[in-house]
Amino acid sequence: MNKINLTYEELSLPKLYEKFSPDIFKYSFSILKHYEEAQDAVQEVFVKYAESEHSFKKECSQKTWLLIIARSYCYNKIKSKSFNSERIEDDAFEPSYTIDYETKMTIRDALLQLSEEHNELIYLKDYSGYSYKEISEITKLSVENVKIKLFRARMQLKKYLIDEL
Amino acid sequence: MKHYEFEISQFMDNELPADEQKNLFAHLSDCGECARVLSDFMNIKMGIKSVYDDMNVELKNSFAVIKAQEPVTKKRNVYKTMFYYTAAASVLFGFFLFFLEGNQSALEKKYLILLQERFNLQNKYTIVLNEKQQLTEMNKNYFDKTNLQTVKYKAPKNSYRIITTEKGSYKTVASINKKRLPPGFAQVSYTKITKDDFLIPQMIGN
Repeated sequence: MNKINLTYEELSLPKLYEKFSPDIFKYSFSILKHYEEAQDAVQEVFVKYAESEHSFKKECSQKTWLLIIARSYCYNKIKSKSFNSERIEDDAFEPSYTIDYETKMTIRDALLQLSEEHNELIYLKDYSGYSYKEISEITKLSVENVKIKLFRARMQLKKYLIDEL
Repeated sequence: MKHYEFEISQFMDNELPADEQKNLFAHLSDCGECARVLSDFMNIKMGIKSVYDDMNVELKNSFAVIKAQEPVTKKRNVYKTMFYYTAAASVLFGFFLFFLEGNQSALEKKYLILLQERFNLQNKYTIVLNEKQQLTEMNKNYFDKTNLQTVKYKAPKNSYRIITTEKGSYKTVASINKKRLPPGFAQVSYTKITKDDFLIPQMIGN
């Protein structure tokens, strides 16, 4: 599990980019499910961060702030008509991992089947290791809601990967 | 029998309270189905971590490119600069108005002085005109009063003398040779000279 740095440590923009751009990319990918769109998202997120740096009230960590910006960008992108019309199957994403036991669907495929919200929550919890409270800050959902939605997402994944064997 | 799938999910997230954990462990020891759910969840979680760890992250641009494209600082600087320029312009405009007002009053004062001078000159001109008129009147009166009527004819030799008289004294104005007079004029003893004979050349001179 990733270690979460809860203490506030201000980093300059180049260092932020160096440190968090892969995480922003992965988070964006978990929502957008599109490799190139996620690449664009990283760029847009850091530009928006630079734009809104003066309005950053330091109530959360810089990474959380970046994730909030990324989330806002990604959902706006999904809502835009151009995104849905141009969306095609993305073959650039080639995971090396497959589950131990033989399944028809890889985890990557199962993740792509999940809704954007479930996929996002799974990323934030299972990969990034954020607490329910932190996820609630990022997603603006209540803690209870986060708890329930995460459970549903897991059940959904279990259904895709194990139950349908 | 109640299953604890929801609690298992929270347990995996380290968010299950301690007392509920005890209940969960007690249940897991009895329920093979829930134990399998826990195992599946754990495997899936590991799989997810692996998927994201192995994800090939190739970003389009380096930070330098992003920074070059970054419109913010420029925008903010533009607004900042605009603000400063506007403030400076406002101050300058204020000063300009202030000085303009000062200059205006100075100009107004000059105008009033000139106007006063003009009135003074007009008054002087009127006075001069009046004086001139008075002088003309005086001159006229003078000629009216003076006795310029008599020209006495004396012909000591072969000439006529034209004499003006003033207050009894005589003054020779001209002398005309008797021989040069046209025939018939020699009989004229005197001729009357009026004031007009004096005024006309004076007026032409003016």
